Amino acid sequence: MKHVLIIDDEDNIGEEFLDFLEIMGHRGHYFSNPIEGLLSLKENTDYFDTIFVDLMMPEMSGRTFIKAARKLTNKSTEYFLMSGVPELDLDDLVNSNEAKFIHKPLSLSFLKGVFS
Amino acid sequence: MHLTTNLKSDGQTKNFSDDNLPRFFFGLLLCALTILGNYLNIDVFFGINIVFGSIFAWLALIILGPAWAMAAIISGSLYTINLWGHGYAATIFVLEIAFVIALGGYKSISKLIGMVSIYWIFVAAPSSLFLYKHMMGIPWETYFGLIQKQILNGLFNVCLAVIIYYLAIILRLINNSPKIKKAKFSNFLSVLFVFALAVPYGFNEIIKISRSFDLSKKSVIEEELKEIENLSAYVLYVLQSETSHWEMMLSNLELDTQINFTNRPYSVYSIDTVTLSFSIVFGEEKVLPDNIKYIYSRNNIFNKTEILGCDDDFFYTVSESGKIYVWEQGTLDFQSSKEDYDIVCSTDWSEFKIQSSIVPQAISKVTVPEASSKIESWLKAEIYTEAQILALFPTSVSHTHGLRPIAMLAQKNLNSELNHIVMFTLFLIVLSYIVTYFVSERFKRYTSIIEELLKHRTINVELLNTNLYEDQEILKSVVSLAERFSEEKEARTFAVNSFNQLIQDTSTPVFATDNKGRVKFWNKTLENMTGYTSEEMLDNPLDKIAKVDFTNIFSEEYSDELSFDFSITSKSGEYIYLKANQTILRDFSDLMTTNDLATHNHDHNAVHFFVAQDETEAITARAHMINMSRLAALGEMASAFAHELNQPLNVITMAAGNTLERMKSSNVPSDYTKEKLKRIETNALRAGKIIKNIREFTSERRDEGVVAFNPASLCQNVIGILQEQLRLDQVEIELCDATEGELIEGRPMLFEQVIVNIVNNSRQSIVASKAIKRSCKIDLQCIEGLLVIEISDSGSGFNDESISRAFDPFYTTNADRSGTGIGLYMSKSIISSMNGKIWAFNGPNGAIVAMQFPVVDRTSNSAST
Repeated sequence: MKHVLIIDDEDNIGEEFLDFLEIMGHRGHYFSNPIEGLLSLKENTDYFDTIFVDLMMPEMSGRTFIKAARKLTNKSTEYFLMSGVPELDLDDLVNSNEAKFIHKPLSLSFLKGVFS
Repeated sequence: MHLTTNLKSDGQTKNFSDDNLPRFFFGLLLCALTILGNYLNIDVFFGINIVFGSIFAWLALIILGPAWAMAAIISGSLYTINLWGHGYAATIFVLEIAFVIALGGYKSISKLIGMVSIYWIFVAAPSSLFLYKHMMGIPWETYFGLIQKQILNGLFNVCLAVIIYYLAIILRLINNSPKIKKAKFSNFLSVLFVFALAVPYGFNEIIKISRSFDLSKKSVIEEELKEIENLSAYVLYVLQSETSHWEMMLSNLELDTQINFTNRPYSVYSIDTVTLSFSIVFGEEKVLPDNIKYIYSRNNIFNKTEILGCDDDFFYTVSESGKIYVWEQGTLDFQSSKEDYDIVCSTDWSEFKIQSSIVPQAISKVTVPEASSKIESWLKAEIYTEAQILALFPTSVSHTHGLRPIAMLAQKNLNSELNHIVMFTLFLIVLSYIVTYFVSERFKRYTSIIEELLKHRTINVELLNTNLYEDQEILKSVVSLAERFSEEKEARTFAVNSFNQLIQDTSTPVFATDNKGRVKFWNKTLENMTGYTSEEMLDNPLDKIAKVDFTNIFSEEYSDELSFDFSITSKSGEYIYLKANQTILRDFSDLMTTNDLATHNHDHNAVHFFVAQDETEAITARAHMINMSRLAALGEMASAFAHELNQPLNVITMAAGNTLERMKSSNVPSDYTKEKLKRIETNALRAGKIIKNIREFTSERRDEGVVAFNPASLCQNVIGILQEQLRLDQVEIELCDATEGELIEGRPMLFEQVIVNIVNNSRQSIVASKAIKRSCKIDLQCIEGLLVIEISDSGSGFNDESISRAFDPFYTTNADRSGTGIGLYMSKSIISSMNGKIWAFNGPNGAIVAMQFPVVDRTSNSAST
């Protein structure tokens, strides 16, 4: 069972993510506000194995969130940056393996692969 | 006296039903004047008279007609028989009038003089040749002089008659025929022309001839005087020698004082004309001279001649009355005389005699015998000269010289001069006819021009009467006016042709419609642009192929400055955008006479000419600019659109996947399934709505044209489009609408683009400013008939440069973020096309962009978005 953190400004996505993790037998935590997510990470730095972050959010972009979260979590924590828009300036994150980019809409088969 | 003339301009006989009695007396008067005119003739030369009777005969012909003319000329001609002692002239005069009447020359004053000329040349001259030459036996010289004088006399009379006639009209002594046109006064002018040139020349020549003849006579008389002087001296010498001889011869005789021989010589012999024997009458017989010889004598009264003596060349006789005669020997021919047997000896046109009567002084005189024919009288004229001789007895010598040779010579000279006058006069008449023809043509032309002028301008018709002076004044004005009119007409024709050519061949689209918008002209450029030929378009409504409402355009009072935009769908389906400026030709038929426009302009006076400007390229370019601006905005929003769309898709995908996963492992509660399906439905609809918004914004929709719309509603649409982007940028946007649904006019799509541009600029400015408060406000309100829209933001605002250059094309403060610099430029262009204005300035919190538009009057325009 893995502990998964989900940051997305769309509540429906967060709820579906939690439902999926429940089906798959994982434990998920969802924050629609990335700042709240960071605060949670700050208190639980080694708790989350996988973190899914939406790229475009009003309060904070996914890129900023990852850069900030990396400083709080250990290196084994796996980051996934979710976006429906291809972002050219994500190469530094992707190339340094700080995060993996996945396209929205997310398919369950892909997510299964992530947790398998 | 007021009479109505018998003729009209081209002469139709009038009836005499009116004023018959005055006409009768007037006719009698003219007959009397014809006689009087011949009676008061002028004896010009050699017994040739100029008679004036036919003047009145011609007047009778012109005024009263042929009957009175014949009566007058016959009356006048009778007098010439008395005047000249023969009837030939009378015949010729009567024939003259009859000839003109027969040929109808009397019907036209203009033909009258020509007819008379033809008569004298082709009829009278040959007739006279027969009458005068062969029947009267006059010499050629006399005949030619006579006939040429008659030609001149005839032409002079008829010309004078015409002049008198016109003068009588001008002086209103007689009434002109109402049908005589003023143009026919050219006849008067032509006659005056002939008179002005021919009469002075003719009179001058005739006076010259007359003076020449007088000089010749004077010269002859002087010569005669000299001759008689010489003769007197010679005779005196002879007498003196003879008398001295007689004195010696008769010295022994005693004078018989019983017999009064005071005036007789001393010895008188008688001669028997039968036996030629001499016998002494008184004195001594022995004194009979021996040298009397070559005497041929005849005395019809006494059968004897008393011879006083003789010499070789002369012999002398004495009459009972005591006259002593000296005869030239050799041609002696005694004849009797009623007084005495004195006169009569002739020697080749000269004779002389010596008289014993006392002659106080030398005399000379020219005697013209009163012959039965005056034409020949000068041929029998003579000069008589007499001079006193102081001899033993008071004696005179006289000499008579016939003038036939000099008269014949003078007539030859006269014929030559007359020939010049006649030829000159005939030339002038022909010339006057030529001039009259052209003058008449000009008069006709001016008459037609006057008629044309009357059609277009108002002229006082009272001015067009028959007064010659006024005619001339009018003529001057008409000529001037006609020339100007002609020039104007030519210029107008040239201008119209040039105009037609220009609008046909110009590369500019030109068309014309009537008041109902039906096409009346369609030039070649439009044919090429639209594919519709002129034949296809003429008389068809333009709105059949054009997006324009001519009913509204022409419903108001026509304005010459009407201008409007419209588009035409070409035959191939392409849109052609035109901007038309019109010019109205109200009295089109006056300007256009020979072109398609006039042909197709039967039922409408006003034709609206439109000179169009092809704005297809400009509009296409502007559309491309707007599209570029839209694409630029779209590019900025692409991420937001994609994100916004993927969010519901992601929800749908995951909800469906989760449901499927649960359905694989266990029974899925129906509530779960329902919840998931409802979520899927909701997000699917949400995605569809997003797609619709994007599609509407990004699609190149057809321009719906200018309509009235609610700007607040479109602002709300814009907010809907930009909402996700604004949310992501944490920019709060607020719409305050205080317009109460007021409408403005324009193209809604373009207006929407303007609002998108300005809100996007605000969003970018806010993001760039790192402002804590991120807000943008769209405020709509109506102020004094204007709808004002203010878009304010909490961004960094404008600096000095960006304020002054905010609406410049390609100026951007956002170049590093792919700003194109055409957003505000196109916004200003679009707002100007909506008759609006736009400003950019700084507010208390950031930038403010304000716009104002005229509010649509809802009472006149019910259209809305």
